[in-house]
Amino acid sequence: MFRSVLPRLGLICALGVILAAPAAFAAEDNGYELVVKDHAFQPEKMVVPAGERIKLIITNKDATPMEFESYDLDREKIIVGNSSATIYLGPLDAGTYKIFDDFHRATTTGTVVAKPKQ
Amino acid sequence: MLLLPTARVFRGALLPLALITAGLAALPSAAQAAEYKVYSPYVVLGESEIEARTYFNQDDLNAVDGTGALKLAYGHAFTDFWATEIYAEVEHEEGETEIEAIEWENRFQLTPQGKYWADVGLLAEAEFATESGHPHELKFGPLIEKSFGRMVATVNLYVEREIGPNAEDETELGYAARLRYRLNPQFEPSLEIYGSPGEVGEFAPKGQQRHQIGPGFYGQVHLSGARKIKYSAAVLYGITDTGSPNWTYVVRFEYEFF
Repeated sequence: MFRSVLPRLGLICALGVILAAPAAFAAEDNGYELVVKDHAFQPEKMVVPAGERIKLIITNKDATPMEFESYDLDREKIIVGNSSATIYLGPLDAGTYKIFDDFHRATTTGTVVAKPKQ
Repeated sequence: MLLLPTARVFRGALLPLALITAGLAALPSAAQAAEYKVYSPYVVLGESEIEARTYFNQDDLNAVDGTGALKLAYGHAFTDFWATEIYAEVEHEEGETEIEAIEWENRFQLTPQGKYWADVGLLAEAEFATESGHPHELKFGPLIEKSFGRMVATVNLYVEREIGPNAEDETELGYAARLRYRLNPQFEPSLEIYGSPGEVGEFAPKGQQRHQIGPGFYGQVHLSGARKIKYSAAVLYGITDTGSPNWTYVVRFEYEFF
């Protein structure tokens, strides 16, 4: 039975690979760093270029985990204590995007501001 | 594993679980598994969820009209690329409520969100029938999502294969897809399409294939302590004659917590 299933599963896998092929065109790394310390974003207002893909490295310098979250940016990422994580954004339209730590919503809030390049 | 408060987790889980259990009494009779869900390829480390989704059909055929099912699940993301969920598929027929099948679902996030042109994941699922003599089932396929500004397109493709007693010797192809507009967290309108053309390499005649399409919406409410209640619903119109119910009504709830 499995002998007859395998070619079909192979076909489906190949289909998945074909559909994912555009993934080969990876975003260029355009890195920015955001730090969380004492449950506060540093900087609180992160300025990034509009119209470009960017790589945002978030370093959590607190001992407790944080959840970087933004409905505006459509991102949600857990970062355990004393570690870093990377999220990929954009290309963003010019504007202000709210961000927060979902575990400390009262204190850890900030913005990502996408500005057109001069 | 994250060092997150667990006592709060279980206390917080009791209320939704009680509501879900109480909802069983209103469940229509079931004929097949409730599969009306489109999966995003993302996994959030340490996130747990309790899920309930149900549907019921309206059709000219008495055998189909009023059929439906309910799935209850508990899931957890053990890593930032693997989330697993255990489902109980509950049927309510002729006054009796019973668990028809147990499912073990696994989702794998294969690419970081936003890094590539599209985000890709994988769904692998095993369904174990609880009644003797009924076949088990394996399901496998890619999950693909792409954002265009506030519009998010998601496509799931999968193959299903029965194994065990009385299993049919065929591999079925299925799909689920969704176009969702991120209007605001509480209300995101969507267009959804679900279907199964039949066996891989030998599709059923068009009228006997299942293809259903219709509008829906998604939403979420943030609670304290990084908890969320997510809800969604859809009304699906059967495009094909005999292969699809005339109408299917779908409702889903998720309670997410850490």
